[in-house]
Amino acid sequence: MADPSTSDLVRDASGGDQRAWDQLVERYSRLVWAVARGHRLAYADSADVFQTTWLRLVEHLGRLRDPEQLAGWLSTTARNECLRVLRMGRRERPDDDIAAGGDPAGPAEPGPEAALLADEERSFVADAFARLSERCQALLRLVVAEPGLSYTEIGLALGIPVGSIGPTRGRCLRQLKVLLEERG
Amino acid sequence: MTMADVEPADRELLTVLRGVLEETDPVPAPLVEAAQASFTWRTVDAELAELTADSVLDGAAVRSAEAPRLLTFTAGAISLVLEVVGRRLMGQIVGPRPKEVEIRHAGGSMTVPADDYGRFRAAPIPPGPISLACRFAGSRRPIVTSWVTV
Repeated sequence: MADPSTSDLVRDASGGDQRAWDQLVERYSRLVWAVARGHRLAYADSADVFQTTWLRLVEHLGRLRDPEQLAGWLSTTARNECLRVLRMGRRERPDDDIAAGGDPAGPAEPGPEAALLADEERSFVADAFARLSERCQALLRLVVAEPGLSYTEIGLALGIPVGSIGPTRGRCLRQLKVLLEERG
Repeated sequence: MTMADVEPADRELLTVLRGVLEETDPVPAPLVEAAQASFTWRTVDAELAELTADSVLDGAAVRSAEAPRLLTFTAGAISLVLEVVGRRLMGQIVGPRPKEVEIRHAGGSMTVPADDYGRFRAAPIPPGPISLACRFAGSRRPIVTSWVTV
């Protein structure tokens, strides 16, 4: 059986179907995370943006003009929330909140990235990516995010004109390859 | 992604990069679970007050954490103004006086009374997303505000 369409999931979730909601979150989590991580936010701030974006969707489920445009709606909402959080400056974060357990903002288990990676090529790519400009990192995160985004959606997520995405992607890929060649 | 216009060699590199990012920067599982659990905040009977003004977006500079932030939410003729200073929150509903105000946040919620002028206050507010639910006496529908990170 084919996967349900996003419109079907939005319709079922707005009718109260938790399983449809869970599937929506699974389908678009990677995308929302890519937008949040592409905005120079601290880890805990990225986590807040991620959560706020999904809470916004809960309240907007029945109000989306075109459910098939959900990726664009999520990108725009996450980006706007990133801008607010960036403007807010540093917020107080009581450490004891984390001790309560289940703090979703807690970083994953630390560990050398190289050890996580299956082979040398992947660790070279990870290293080269980390040395790219922030703008290139943000763009490439969205370019590879699943499910695939249209140029319009990437433009909304980054606040850049659609026409500049192709050329910027080309430039960022060239930089990535130059960095990889330096290592190789 | 729309990789149709990407050269095969670049497509291969992007595919490797996708795998690398999924491995080194995965969406944290507790966040996915929290997002799925956020469905319990769904309200069917309430009117949504959209965020219509946010002082943090006025002006260019990054502000200090202690500068007050003013948020305005609007639902029809009713508006709700929130002032956030550090982890303290003060607010006023301009319109009918609510019976009580519930401050909903990622970890739960707290309910505070409103005075005769529709004013209320709460502290400390945990960092992260919040939304307010105002309930009124009689048959008036409750109002919930849009979620916002504070």
